[in-house]
Amino acid sequence: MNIFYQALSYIHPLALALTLYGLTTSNLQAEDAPENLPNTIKINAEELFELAEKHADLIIIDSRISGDRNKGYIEDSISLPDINTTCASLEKHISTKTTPTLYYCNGIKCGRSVKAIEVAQACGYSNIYWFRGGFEEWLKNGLPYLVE
Amino acid sequence: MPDKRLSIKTSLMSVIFMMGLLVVIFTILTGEVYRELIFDNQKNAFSRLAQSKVDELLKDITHQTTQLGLNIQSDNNFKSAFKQRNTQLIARYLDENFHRAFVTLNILELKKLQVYDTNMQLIAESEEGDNLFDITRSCPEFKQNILARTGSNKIKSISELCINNTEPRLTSVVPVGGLRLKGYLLITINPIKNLSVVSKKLVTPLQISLSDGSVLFQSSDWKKPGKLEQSAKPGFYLSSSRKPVLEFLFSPDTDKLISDLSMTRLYLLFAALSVTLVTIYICLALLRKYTLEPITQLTRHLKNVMQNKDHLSDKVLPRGNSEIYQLTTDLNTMSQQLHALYNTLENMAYTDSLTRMHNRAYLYEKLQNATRHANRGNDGFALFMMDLNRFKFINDTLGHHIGDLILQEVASRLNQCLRDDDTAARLGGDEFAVMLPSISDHSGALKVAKKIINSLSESIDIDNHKLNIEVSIGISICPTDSTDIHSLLKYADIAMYHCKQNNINYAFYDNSMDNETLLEFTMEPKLREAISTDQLQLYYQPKIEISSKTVTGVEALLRWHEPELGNISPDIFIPLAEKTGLIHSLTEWVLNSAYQQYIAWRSNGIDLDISVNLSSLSLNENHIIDLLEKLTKKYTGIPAEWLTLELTESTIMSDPVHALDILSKIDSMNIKLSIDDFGTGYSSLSYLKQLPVDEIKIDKSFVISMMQDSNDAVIVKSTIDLAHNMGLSVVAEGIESEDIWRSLDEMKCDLAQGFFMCKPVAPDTLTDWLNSSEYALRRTQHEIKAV
Repeated sequence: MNIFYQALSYIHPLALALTLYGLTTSNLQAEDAPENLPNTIKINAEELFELAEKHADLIIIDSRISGDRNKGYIEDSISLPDINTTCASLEKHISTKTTPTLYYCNGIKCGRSVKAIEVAQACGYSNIYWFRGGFEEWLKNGLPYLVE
Repeated sequence: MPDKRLSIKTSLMSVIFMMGLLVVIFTILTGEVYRELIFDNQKNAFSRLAQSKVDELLKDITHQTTQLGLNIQSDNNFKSAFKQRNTQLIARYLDENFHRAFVTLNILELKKLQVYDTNMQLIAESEEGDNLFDITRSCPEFKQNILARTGSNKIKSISELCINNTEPRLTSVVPVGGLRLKGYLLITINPIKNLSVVSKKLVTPLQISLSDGSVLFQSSDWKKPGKLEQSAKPGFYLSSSRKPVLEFLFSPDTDKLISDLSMTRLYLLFAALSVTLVTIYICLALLRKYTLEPITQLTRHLKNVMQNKDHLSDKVLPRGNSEIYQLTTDLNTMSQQLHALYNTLENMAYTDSLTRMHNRAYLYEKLQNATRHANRGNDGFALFMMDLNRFKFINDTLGHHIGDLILQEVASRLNQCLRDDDTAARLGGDEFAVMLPSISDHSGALKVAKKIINSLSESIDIDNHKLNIEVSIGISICPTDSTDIHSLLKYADIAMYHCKQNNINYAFYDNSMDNETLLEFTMEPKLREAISTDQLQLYYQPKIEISSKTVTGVEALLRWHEPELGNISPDIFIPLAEKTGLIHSLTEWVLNSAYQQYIAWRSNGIDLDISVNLSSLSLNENHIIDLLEKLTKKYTGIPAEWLTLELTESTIMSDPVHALDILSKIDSMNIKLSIDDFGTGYSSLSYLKQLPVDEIKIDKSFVISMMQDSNDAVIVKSTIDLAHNMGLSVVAEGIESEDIWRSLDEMKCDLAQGFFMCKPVAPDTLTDWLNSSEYALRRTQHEIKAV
């Protein structure tokens, strides 16, 4: 008999409560990022891997603030939070206006990559790639990441 | 014979008990099956749970190793060393991490840290850990899998369980270089310690072994499974590349389960037993109420009825099952009908149909009860026997119809004179009887007698006839006169005849009354009745020719069996018949019977002469001649030569002249004549010579004593000689021994008759005797015509 009780005890009531909390709070958060951005190529995690293989000079911009980045980031990505994104800061990392550049942030709820892309476009950069799923999708796909 | 049959109760109870037994057996069997099932379920459920736990643990370990890998390659020193392909630096750095992980974490039992290039060629490895760990050797398939990967899968972490020199290893491969794959970092650990945590989590002893059976881990409280438990041990295999690598075996505490199950089984058995017992009790109660008790009630009723038919009128309350209810109802109906029928029959058996009074049978029953009652010292009773005087005359002159009406009127008046307790009965003809219970003295009986006499003395008007009836009442008293029914009836009868003789209306019996005379008086009608019914019978005693030992004839002897008085001797009823003139009827009956017997014998091939004794009165008138002529006519074609009439010597000598006349007439009819009891009548031999006599019978008194008394022997001898001289044959009666037979043979006596050969017997017995005796039958001399 005690086996059944044991089995039951593993469904921890706290876990249940957390799940419920997560569901309700996510609904209250900001709107999703738009499906597409003008003059931008939207890619997913798998396409990102192919993109990197294809373009050895691919620049990956991490638009998140350091707090988020500290939890993990895609190797070889450059930390440039959206709030710091300016024509000048971009110029430091990207050699030419046509260098293929990918922007990502936490995920679809995070609008930082969108903002950064808008700045970059305003600065005259083209050949922009957007990883809309962001770090969330990266983790979900079980891909490797680094922690600071 | 004792009844060995089973009662319904026993049969039904056996069936119920058998069913109960079946239930218990079924419960035990089901319990066994369920126990096995429960063990199996338990085992499977536990195995699944344990496997999910182990999977969880494995995932956790993998995560930790992967995390360790990420940490290592995140380090800038490692990064630069890797970039430079400085194998020494990499190795040193790996060793550093090995130690750090051991010191800081001590969660993972690190066995090797290695760095490979993208083609899985070893670049550098830690010195710490397994001396020889080569993934190509330990996990070739895993290596192939890593190399075969495409797309983004190439940069994903991957783990595998492998065996290195009989030790299990978990190797996690963490890609180095992120998006641009530059090599692989391999973290190899021994996962056993981490996996064995499942034992603590499940609080169950655990044993982990390789697929070849070698034990890698065993909990301190691990119990070696008993033979019985082996099959019940839960467990599973952890596989790698679809090959079982590690066997997890658990030893959960089954004692409690087993004891729980045993208890459960006991409870179940107890419950089954209780239910069975309760069911049996209910079944029996229902059976008793609806089947057994109603049946018992019926049997009891039938037993009562068997003992006393009066219970036929009792009703049994119908109850129980429908069949028994119906049976009871039907039985009640049938009982009622039977009771009615029984009453009718009893009425018919005990009632006189003419007067509606009780009959003789009823009176006898009443008398029996009353005498039994009196014999116990209770009150006695008075018995009246009544007879209407001159009733026969009335019947003969006015007809039976009037006679019947008179009897009915007498019955009615008689009933009016009596109390309810008294019993009046008509015994037959004009004979009535009255029994007065509780009256055992003369004065009480006298009162009733006078009342009856007064009541009957009033004339009766029938069909314009004014008839006066007189009654004779004989009274006997119980217990004063007797306590025996037959004596009481006889005494009352005697008293009644006393009335008739003395012309009085009533008389109490007293023992001075002449029993003999009265007996004769009572016997006359009985004898008259006997002649007309079958109460008389002829017995026959053989007459045997001594010289040839041949049975030549028989002497017919009359017997009377009176239903009430039993056998009555001819010495009593022949004189009575002579006195009352019934002798002629009697003689006719005897001769007629002799004729019929003769014919019957002849038709069966038996030829015997028959001698018939004649009464002395027969010679007085010509009656006998008329009778013989009548019979000759009746049986034309049967010559009467076979018939011998026997007359006593004294009969003939009382009126010799008349006798000669009659005997001559008989002789002329070819009927033989014999002188009976010869030697007692002093007959004149010269006279005898004139008579047409054929034989003489020497009186048995001489014959019986001739062996002792020489005078008698002389008489017998001289009588034989004399008779022979006169041409007569001689019959000796009373032969009671062989000596007498031999002497008579020497004396040349012709025929012998006596108990030595055969006593007088009924015709059937005689036939048997003829068949079995040493004496031969005479050969048939002549044929007779059928009649």
